[in-house]
Amino acid sequence: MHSDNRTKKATRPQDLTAMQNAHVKWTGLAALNVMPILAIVLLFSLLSALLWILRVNELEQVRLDLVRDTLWVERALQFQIANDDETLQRLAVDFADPLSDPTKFAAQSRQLLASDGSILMIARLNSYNQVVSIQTPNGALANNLNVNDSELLTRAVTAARRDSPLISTSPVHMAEGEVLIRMAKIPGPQAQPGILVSAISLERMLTHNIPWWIAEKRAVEIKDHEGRILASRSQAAVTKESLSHSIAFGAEPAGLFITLFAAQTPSSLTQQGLVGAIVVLGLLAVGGLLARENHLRKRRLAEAELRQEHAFRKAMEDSLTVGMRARDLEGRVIYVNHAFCQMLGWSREELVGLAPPMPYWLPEEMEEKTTAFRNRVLTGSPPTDGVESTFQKRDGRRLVALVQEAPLIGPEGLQTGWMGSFLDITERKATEELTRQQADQIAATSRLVLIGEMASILAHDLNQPLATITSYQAGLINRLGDGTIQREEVVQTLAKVGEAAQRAGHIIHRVREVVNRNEPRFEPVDIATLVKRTVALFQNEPRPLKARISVSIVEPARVERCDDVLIEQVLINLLRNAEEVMHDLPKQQRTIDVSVTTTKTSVEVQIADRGPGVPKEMVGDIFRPFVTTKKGGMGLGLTICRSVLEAHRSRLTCSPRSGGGSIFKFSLATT
Amino acid sequence: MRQPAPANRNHGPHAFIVDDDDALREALTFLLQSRGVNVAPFASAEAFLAQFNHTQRGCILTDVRMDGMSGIEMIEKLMAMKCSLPMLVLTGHGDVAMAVDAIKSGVRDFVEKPFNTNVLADKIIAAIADDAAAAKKQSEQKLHEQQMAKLSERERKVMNLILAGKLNKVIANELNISTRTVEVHRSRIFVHMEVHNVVELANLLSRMRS
Repeated sequence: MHSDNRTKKATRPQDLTAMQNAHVKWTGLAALNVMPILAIVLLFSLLSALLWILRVNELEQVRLDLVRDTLWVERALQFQIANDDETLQRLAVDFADPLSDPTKFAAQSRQLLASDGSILMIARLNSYNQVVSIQTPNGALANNLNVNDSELLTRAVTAARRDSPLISTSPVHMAEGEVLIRMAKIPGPQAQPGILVSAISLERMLTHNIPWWIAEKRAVEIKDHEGRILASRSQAAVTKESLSHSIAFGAEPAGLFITLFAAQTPSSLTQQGLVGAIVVLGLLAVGGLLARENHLRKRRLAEAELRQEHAFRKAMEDSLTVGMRARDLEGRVIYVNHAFCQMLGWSREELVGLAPPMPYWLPEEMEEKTTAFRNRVLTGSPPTDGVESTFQKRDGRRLVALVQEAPLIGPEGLQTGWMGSFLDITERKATEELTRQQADQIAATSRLVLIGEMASILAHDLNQPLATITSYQAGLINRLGDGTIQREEVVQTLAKVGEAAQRAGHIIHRVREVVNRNEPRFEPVDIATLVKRTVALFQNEPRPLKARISVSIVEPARVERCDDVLIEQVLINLLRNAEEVMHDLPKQQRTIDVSVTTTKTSVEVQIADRGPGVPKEMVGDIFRPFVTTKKGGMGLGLTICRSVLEAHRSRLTCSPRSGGGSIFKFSLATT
Repeated sequence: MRQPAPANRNHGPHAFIVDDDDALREALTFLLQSRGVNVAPFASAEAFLAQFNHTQRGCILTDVRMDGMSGIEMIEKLMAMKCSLPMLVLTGHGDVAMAVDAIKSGVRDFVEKPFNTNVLADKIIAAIADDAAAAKKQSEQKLHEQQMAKLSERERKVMNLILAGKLNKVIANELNISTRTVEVHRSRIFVHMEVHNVVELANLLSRMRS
């Protein structure tokens, strides 16, 4: 009860800490689960922010570049137009000089045409607005150029009147596309001066005046104030969504706008690739996490199952009342259960690792057990069917246990040791012993009662004839004293006395008939077999003294006339006596020597004990009925033995044994 | 010493022996007769009870264990019938407790088998003698009771006063009768009670009362 409490106290805090540990582990696990997700989310958002900032920066850069490019293009175009205008004016001045060579004009205009590919033609109009000469890059007259356009003329006139050296018009639609018409007044005194007209194709202007590095990444459009596209160049791939910048031409050509579109930069492609890679990486990380989580969950489930299984096993183990002990192949204790510890009083820590001799073996059996252990356990043949064995508890009390061993098979299928179960049968044994004693006592009592009853019946039945005899005897004496009796009457009376005496004899005879109802049945018997069988029978009886019986037999030992049942009774009786007289000896010295020897004519059976021997004054009496040396004995055992042997024409003798004890001996004739 | 057997068995004291063992019954008969006792043997309790009447005198000797009615049962029946005969019981081995019960219920004595024959005979003879004495006293008492019954009321009063030692004159005075009348009563009392003087009368009455 005490130790039980101790172990309970010991296990409870352990459980608590285990639970706390489990709790900590759980929150730890949760943190472990959340952390990578958090990290991934953070990484993602940071990367996205970075990308966004980069994107914004890039866009800004692109926009700035676009603005710069736009400004540059506007300036370049304006410069070209201005340059063209200047050249035209110079030409016009040259025309005004009458001394100038007309061929020179042609050369100069050709030069102009060559210097600027965007000029479609240069024409000279006289003061009547008639085309005097016309020069095209191909040298041919441009017939399809309708310079007689009233508006053109009107403008030229207006310009001339204003005394402005240069006249420009809004773009004019022609077959070659939108065309800028530039006019220069040929100075002179006349009221209606001649005019030089040049037509600049917007389309060509864009082609010729935009350098390749801009053209490859920008689309360029020229629009009027209404938004109509007059000319465009889009070598680079642009879309409507592309970034654009648009400015008005600063001076000439007035009212026009130039717009540049930024082409898709290849850098955005790499960025997309980068983002894609990040996304893929993130997805991979999440996938990995999920896989890991799944794995963890499975593991946790397995662990929970394991814990449950373990708890189940432990509860099962602790609830067992059967002690369990496992040993390895060298006999070292590798496991003991709670019940085993409780049974013997040693703790698990003390027992595990111990090798024979074990502390719970009986001190007097240490050697015997060690030998037995070497012979049986180490050679791999421990008792697998239950064996009763006595052990000593730590407090010195004894314990009888039923021990059963089974091989312990490891996971590889090889034997790793032995598992033994110990069933405490001390109480059962004690109960058995008590029951046996009670049964013996009842049997003895009932035998006494039976004998008492028999004696009572016998006494009553014998009383009658005895009383009859004494009555006649006294009566006769009285009558003979009186002298009042005749001779015949004396004879008659004595005859009656005789009858009564005969009746008493009959009663005695009847009793003997009852006693001898079972006549012996003689048969040929092998005494050697009979003795062996009887000794085995005796050893199987519950015997508290457990004397060792050594048997020495000459075989065969046949006799012709023997009632084996009766001789068996004799042997049992003699064995029991032999054991009981050694009551006071220590267990090792309690030995019974049984021997069967043969001669030509007889078989001799001898049963020798080491008891105190028969007291001298009783030597002649031990075979008489109701004489006993045993406490509570009836004094009939040896008497019956003797009767049985007499029926076999034999004799039971008792003699002292040299070295102490008695020898009981009888011999049976072989024929 | 041996008396001759009486002609009629039913008269005079007898030892009534009840025992189902023929041999023992005969032996006991022989023994008691050798001591001069009249014996009436019966083989069973039933046989004895069948012929029993209150005029029988002597004593009863019965065995305890018998086939049929046992000795104890028979004694109980006799007690119920107010039999005054002394009863002796023969007991065997182990019947002591039964014998003690028998003594308590009024049995005179018990004799354990095997018995000393002469002691048994002596006990029976003593029992018969006691019974005879008791019978005599009983018959005397009966006689006196009959005598007393013959006295008149007045005579009984006079007798009591005489026994108190009073003189005739005093008695006459007390009873308010004449002395002559007292004398007449006195002589009648003596006649009825069959006595000759006052001393005899006093003895007789004291015996009756004891």
